[in-house]
Amino acid sequence: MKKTIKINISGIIFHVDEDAFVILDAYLNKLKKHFTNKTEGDEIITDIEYRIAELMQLKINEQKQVITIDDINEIISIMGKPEDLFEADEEMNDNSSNESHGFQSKKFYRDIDNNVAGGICSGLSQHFNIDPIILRILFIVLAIPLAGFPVLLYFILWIVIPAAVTTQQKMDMKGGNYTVSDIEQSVKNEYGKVKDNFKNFKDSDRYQNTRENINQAGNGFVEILNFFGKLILTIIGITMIFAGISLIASMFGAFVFSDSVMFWTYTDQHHFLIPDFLFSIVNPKSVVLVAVCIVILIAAPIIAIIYWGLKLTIRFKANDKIISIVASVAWILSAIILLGIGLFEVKEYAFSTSIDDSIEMELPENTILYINSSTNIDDFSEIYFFEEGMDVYSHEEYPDRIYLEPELSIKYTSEDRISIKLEKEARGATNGKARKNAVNIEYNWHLKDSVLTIDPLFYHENKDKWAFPELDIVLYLPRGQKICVDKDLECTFDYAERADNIWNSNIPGNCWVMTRDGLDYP
Amino acid sequence: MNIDNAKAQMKKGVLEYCILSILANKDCYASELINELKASKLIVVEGTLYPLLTRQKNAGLLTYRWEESTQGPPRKYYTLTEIGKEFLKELDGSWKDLVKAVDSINKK
Repeated sequence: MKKTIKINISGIIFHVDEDAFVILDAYLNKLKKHFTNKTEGDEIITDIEYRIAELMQLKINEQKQVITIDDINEIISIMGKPEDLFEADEEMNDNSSNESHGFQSKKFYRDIDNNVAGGICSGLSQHFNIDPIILRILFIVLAIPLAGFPVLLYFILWIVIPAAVTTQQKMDMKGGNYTVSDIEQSVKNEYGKVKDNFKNFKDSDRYQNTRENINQAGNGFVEILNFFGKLILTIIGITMIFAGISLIASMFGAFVFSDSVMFWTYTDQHHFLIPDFLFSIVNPKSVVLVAVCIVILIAAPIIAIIYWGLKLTIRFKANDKIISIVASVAWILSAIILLGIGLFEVKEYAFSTSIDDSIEMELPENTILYINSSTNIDDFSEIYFFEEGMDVYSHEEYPDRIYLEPELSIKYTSEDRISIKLEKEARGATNGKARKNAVNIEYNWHLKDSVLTIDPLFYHENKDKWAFPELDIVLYLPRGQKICVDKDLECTFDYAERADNIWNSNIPGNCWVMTRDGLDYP
Repeated sequence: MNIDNAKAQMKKGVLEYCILSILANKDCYASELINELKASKLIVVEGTLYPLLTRQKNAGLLTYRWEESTQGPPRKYYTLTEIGKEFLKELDGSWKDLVKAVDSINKK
């Protein structure tokens, strides 16, 4: 069984086998391409079609209704191969022979007849007439140092480039007798053509009295534009491919490796992984979904960039419509899902609750209170969630914990005892959950003799998820109490009332005495 | 110097002359012309003829008329115009001169 196609040649209908049709169509297209710029071209093609119709008429009878591939091959051999025709038709030959097997006549398809995997290397080798083995070796050699990105590119091409299935596609894939050395030749030809045309253009510019000359000038100009247009498009295309690949690379970096080129980390001190970030704010159950959506949201436009870059660089035929529809739908869908999850997650932070712990401290009269930091903050590694403002730290020994900076303020109290108040605040879906989260805020400090040692960081068990914990430490001092604040507490220290109302930046590192109006110089 | 190329060059001028010559005897459509030219081995592939016919027509040497055919599509019958006849006369003369010239050179 064979599929036939109904065609109309010179007003007569023929049934033609599909493979025969492909050959006939290619034959006529080749002729058309050759004669296309000539006024008489259409007429010649019409005449040739009449003759073909006549010859086909002779091939069919009562028993044989369908034109086969053999018939077409015979008819073509009667009419003459395009090369034979053009050779005889020398006058026309000189203009268009370069085009007839130029760069344009080939399209990039996956060669699934000689494939190892997706037929990409084989297809490329057809495109450039190189031995596929060379490309395959090159591919493997490049894949290792480039961390497998060629593999990624391979899969993208595999998805995007259609396979050469039909005879027409296979012919398009193989194109003319085109070899690598011909690329150089072709560029030279093209350049030569442009130069000639430019000369024509200049000549005709001088003698523009005839219309023909102006036409030539136009053609020359168009050729120049074409040439540079192609060149520029190719350069843009290659740039797009590289930009796309490096964007993909940095995205993978952000998701997989700790030091990424993109997002919020820029030196190797800052380790920030998107998955970690997600785990700390999103419900663990939806982390994977959110991650997938984010990947699609970022990757789809990047892949689009690579795709159009490829499209500009190597001509290939693909169903752009379907690809772009699928990509857009995926993109919109992930945007909607992210928005949905986002709204859902926001609910988890609806309520905010704070708990206060107040502890009074006993100190002998006239003792100076020394306040210092228990550990150095440098032992912790900082996570950059956002550029600045929110400093979040992690510690290697306790991966479940997130460390944050408390804020220390010093206030006056009318009582006669020193007291310390911890204001713990956290968020949650309900008041109860917010309270539980607030209770989970852990903070260590101790008073020994007259030395108050406080941690520079408090921590929150990150079992559930990010609860936006906050801690304010308020130190209440009675009148006359002397205090020396260690310089290490600069990060922790937030605010103190001061008798002279001067901005209190130098409080850590100095000694003070509490007055009714606030801290004052001793 | 390519022998095929030399042959093709030679044939080309002669072919145009012969088309006019055949048409001087009777009006023909393309297939008839082809058969005659093929019989005398002037052309190998038929496609060669069509650009020549069109060009001669555009040069005003030929005109054509459509005639229905009992089998197949309508046919284009080509006729010599007055210019074509004049042209042919000129070619007849120069052909005879050529043959004479070639003969006399070859006999030497």
